[in-house]
Amino acid sequence: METAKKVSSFIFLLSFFLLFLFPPPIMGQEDIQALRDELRKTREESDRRIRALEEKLGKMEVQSAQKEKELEEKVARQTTSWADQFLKTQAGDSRFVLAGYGFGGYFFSGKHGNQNEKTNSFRAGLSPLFLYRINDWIYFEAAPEFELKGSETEVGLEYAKANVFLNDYMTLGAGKYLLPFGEFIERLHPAFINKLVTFPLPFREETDEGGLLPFGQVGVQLRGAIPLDSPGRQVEYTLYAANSPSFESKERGAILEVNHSESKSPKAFGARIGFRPFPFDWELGRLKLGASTYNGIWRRGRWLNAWGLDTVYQKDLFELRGEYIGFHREMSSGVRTDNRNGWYLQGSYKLSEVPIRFIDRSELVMRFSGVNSPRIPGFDDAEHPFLKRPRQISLGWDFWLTPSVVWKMEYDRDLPRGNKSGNQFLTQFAVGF
Amino acid sequence: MFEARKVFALLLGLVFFSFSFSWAGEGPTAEQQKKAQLFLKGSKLWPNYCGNCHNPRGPSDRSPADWDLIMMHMRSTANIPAADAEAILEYLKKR
Repeated sequence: METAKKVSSFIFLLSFFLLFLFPPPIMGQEDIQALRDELRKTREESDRRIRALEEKLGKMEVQSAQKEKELEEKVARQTTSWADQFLKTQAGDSRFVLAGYGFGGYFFSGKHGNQNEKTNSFRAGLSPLFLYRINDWIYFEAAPEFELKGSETEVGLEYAKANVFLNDYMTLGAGKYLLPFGEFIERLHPAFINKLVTFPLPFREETDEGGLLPFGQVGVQLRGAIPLDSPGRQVEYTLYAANSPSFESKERGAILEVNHSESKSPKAFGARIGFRPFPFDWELGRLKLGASTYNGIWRRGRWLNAWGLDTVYQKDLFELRGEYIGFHREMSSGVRTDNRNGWYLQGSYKLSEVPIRFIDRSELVMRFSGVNSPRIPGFDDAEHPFLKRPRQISLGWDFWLTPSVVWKMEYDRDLPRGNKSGNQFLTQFAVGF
Repeated sequence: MFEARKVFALLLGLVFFSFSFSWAGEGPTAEQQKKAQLFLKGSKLWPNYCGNCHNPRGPSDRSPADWDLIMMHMRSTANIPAADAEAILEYLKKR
């Protein structure tokens, strides 16, 4: 016991002695403050890293959930054939919608060409659009058209087409469709879209009024768009085949028929390609450039080749668009080639920034269009003076009640070569629904 | 007795307080975030695609079910890629 006491006393003295010899460093206030600062910084840094990691984790969770869903969808697509998908279509998947447009208007034409009589009449028309969806990837659309002309109502079928979305970038359509040549025929001619009452001269729907191409074709088409590197920049395409072209007669200038279903000639075919070079975020406006073709053998190895260019540029309230059609028809030996062409250029400006009531809903439109074509056989020049290389200037004023309801007023000055100039005034109320 | 009530009320308050925090802490689900991103994308694409040919129609012009079918028609007619059509549709249905 005594020995233990001695040993513990010895250890105590030794510790005391060592502490005396090697005292622990005494920290000053500055060192403590520096340590505190360092600790604070470390804490802040670790907090920042934790936050960054949490954010990253959140994003990864979202991405993984999206990827998981995409994979599930991909697997579902791959494991079920089209037939399976079609058979899985439920009764509740189908849906019907009625859309379309209607118009009513007044037309006054002064003396023009060789005509000595003024004409004026009211006009009205209705073009409903029936849409019927079978499931997510098949739908049917049909647009009959009714137009009151004189005391009779003309009934037509603008288009009737079944569509199948083959994938995200490709749609197959079959039936009667609007000719995908340029933009006017397929997209701009409805009365609530067309900014003027009349159509540009090369697109007059009735070919005896100077139109170069029929609006409708019967056949199949494959179409879609391929996005490029940035949103807004993309290439769109349409390939189509249709009944072969046919003319009302073998003579130069003859009218091209809408649908020649009894032809033994190979089918007509064509394509349109459009390119949007400006991504949306460049804010340089929207520019689209397009090129189209329509080709086919119209009779015994003789070709009809039509080609076209179209463009539109839109920036804020301003829009400029134009189209050109070239038309080349091979004729019998000894007969000159039937060459025709037509074009239009249209500018418009919305006055929505003018701080005057009513005026701020207005849009001013100006269009210049022309056609070069041989004389149509069988038509009296006196009755159809515009057929002699017509040129037309159109001025329009649109009043937009809503984005799809418009009251249009138009003044046309016709400048047929070799004839007296003519004037006409038109007004139209059009409703898109 | 009075103290016990106070303690009980305090505990109850704490429970509500903690619940409110836990709810506030729950962010939008992945599906909701995806829809929000689609809506934003659609709001930018809507005037660009539709305005190429006509004045963009007001979303209230049609019911969401109608827009489904009208967008199928426009996707084909205007050659709109499926992803962009989906975004525009989300915008038209939710606006």
